[in-house]
Amino acid sequence: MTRAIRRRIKHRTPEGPTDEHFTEDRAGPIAAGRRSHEGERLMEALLALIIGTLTACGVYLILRARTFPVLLGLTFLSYAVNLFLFAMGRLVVGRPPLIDPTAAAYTDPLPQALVLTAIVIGFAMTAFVIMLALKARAELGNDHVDGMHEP
Amino acid sequence: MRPRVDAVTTSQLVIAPVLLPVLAGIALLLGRSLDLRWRRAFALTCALGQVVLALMLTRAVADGSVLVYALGNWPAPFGIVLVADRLAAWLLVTTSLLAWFALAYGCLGSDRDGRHFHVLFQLQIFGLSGAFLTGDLFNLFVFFEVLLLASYGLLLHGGGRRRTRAGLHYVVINLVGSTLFLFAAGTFYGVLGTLNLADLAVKAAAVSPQDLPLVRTAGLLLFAVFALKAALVPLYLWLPAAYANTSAPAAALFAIMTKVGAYSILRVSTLIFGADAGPAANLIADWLLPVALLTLAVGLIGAAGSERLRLQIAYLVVASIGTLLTAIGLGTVSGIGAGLYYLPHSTFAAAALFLLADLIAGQRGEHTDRLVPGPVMGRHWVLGVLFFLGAILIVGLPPLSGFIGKFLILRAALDHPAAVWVLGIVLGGGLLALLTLARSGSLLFYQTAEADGGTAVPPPTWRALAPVAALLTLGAAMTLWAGPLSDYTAAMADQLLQPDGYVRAVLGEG
Repeated sequence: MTRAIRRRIKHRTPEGPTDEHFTEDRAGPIAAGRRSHEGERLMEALLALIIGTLTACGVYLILRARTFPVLLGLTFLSYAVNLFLFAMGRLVVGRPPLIDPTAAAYTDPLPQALVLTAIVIGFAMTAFVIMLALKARAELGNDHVDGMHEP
Repeated sequence: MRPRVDAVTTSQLVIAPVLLPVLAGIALLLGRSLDLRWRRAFALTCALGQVVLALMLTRAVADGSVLVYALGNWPAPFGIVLVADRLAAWLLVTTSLLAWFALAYGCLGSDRDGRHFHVLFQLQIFGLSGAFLTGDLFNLFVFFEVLLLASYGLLLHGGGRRRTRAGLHYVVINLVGSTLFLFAAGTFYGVLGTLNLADLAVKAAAVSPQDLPLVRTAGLLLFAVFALKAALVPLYLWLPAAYANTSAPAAALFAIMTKVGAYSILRVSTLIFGADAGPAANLIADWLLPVALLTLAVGLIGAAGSERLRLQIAYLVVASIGTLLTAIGLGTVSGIGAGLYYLPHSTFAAAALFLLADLIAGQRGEHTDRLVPGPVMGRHWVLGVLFFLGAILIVGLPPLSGFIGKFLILRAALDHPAAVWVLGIVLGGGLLALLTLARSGSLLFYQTAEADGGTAVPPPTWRALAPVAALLTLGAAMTLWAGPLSDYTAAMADQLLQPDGYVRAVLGEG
């Protein structure tokens, strides 16, 4: 799935505003164009790798039996999804998100708003789970997710 | 001049059921130091206002019109819209009625166990109403989070060891579900470039073949999230412990929570992945029916094996969601219509039984709601009659609405290729449910030992019995008006299966 998405990041939709930015790059000096193109590909690969690693770590930790690793796993997973949402607006460097008569192309502002919302909610949830985990530790006498070995 | 005023008022009506509970919640938070009597009266009044608003909205959309409220007056694909159609109004009425009676029960004393019961309760109604009304995928996520956050608080309301343990599972699994929801929404946005449900429907129908796998992946991911909320097999394991251990009013209100998942499945599968959605059509149609039937079977087996009454009712909630999605999985007007008739009925019946189980547990001293012979309960004949009625409703015996709901579902299933499976499992399951509840009833009411007299508990007050009786009466009333109601739900299903009207209303003509 990640590879398919990366392919999409490269082959943008024809009517998307970011396409102009690409055309402009290609029209520029060849060396600079190639450099920026390679840089973008590297960035895409890096981002995909980071999202994948974070997700894998998150899933692994959530499957642990103690509340603290589960908590860390949830945090990793929310980091991964935030980056993923951000990448869904495509990776664009140095472009304004708002209307500017001199701008040749724009970056998509919507995913940034989505990520902001997701971060706020994720933050509140993490704080809540920490309190709940502490409560469970206090009431059940251990930090097992099933509250095992009840006295 | 008059029609214009009417148009403005009607479109404001769409946002009113979202605004009222959130403002009430904030007001209750600010006025938390007031006397409990005032807070109760205020919360009950607001919940009653919610019922009125829901009924007004139902009247406004009963002719099949789709009302749209654009927040900040931004036009549809760019701004967030709230959309009210027959289905949304139907679920709002169900939710608000349920919430009022659950709140009335909560006001009898269990709201003293925690500080913010009334605030959380209003916010829960806020989240539920928003989820039913929103026309935007990301906004749906936000309302899911609102209702979940409130439900975490309500679930843990009153505290206690078991509650904490069940709550931890519930919170963690729902957080994972939220993350998956975001992955799905992000993929939709990345591929189709929109999050508006109506616009998604248009874009998904015209998706290019190379993007189709991504759209399908996102759709199935979304289905998995909704299945988790609806507690479908194999994602139901969080439900029984969570519902069986929470406080009674919260459990009663949670009877509608799984229906939010069912609503989302219905909305997304008819609107975005409906029959005329081009290459992405009927994405989950093949999955829904088998999974729903399996859920029904597993829920009833779980109920039969439960050692506690409340756990048994929680499993019956799982079974009722199985029945509901079986009807929806048939995918026809008659099937979906039957399911939508069954939905409020099963919600009211399950909620009434949760409240009743709390009363029964309160009467049995140390035996609480464990299914073992115990002492004779105070007012046992009233409790017995209510239990009997609730059991008839939820099992689906004639003459009450459960029977009509199941009959409609079975009649709709007759021309389906999998009719044998549907008939077999629904009817066999009904028998199992009947045996299960007959056993529980006889254990609780017949096999009683004489109380030793030392622990005299006051019998349940009439005020505590009234919400239970009222919820059961609502279920029974659905029997009396079964004809008009089932016609109305069939019209609702018809509207769902023709999503053009919804899309046109949201995106404007053309």
